[in-house]
Amino acid sequence: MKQDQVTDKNLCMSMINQLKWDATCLTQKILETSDQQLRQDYINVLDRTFAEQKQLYDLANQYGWHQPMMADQSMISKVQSGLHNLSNEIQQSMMSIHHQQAQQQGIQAPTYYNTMDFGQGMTNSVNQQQQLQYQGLGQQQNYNR
Amino acid sequence: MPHAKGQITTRELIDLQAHLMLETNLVGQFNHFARECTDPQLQRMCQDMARSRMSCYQLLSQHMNIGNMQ
Repeated sequence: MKQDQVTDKNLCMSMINQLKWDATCLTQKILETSDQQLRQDYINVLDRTFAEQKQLYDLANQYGWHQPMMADQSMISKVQSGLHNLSNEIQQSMMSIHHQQAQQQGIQAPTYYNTMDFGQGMTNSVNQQQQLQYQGLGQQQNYNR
Repeated sequence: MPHAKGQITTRELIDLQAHLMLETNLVGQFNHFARECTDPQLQRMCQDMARSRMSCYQLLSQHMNIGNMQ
């Protein structure tokens, strides 16, 4: 019985891996296809592949055949710290671009970049509108050169 | 909808041929797994997915104007 379970587990994991590879191949082909109908058919097949892979994954989980290793707290903290630094770098980069553009256009830089942080700052619709308006001004200036 | 004759790009043709081979391999393997496995739920899934991959093969094969594989 134990041996049978191992065999079924191997078969299930093999199917999961094959469907993952199928999805990878389909994605590549979708990106390379010119014909709209062929592209759509690939997308439909990919959707089905995702659904089937999920079905098998759920079965593997249900039987305890697949137990993903959870990240420990120290690893999570390390990644969070790295992302925080990255966030600061992006913020500084955006600020410098903003100042540069503001100097060129002779207008005051909006303050929303100062509050930018992970998961917030860019979701505010008013801020997005300001950004679009600002980009529009930048493009207009480039056209005038 | 199949491509009009001669309207498929070389890249699309090569990719399509490769993918149709991949799908036929999946059909064969899933049918084989359906015979090999002991768990009824997994067996049913293997059979369903073999049929599903066959249907994917038929959908994509239309683009090569080669009709359905029996």
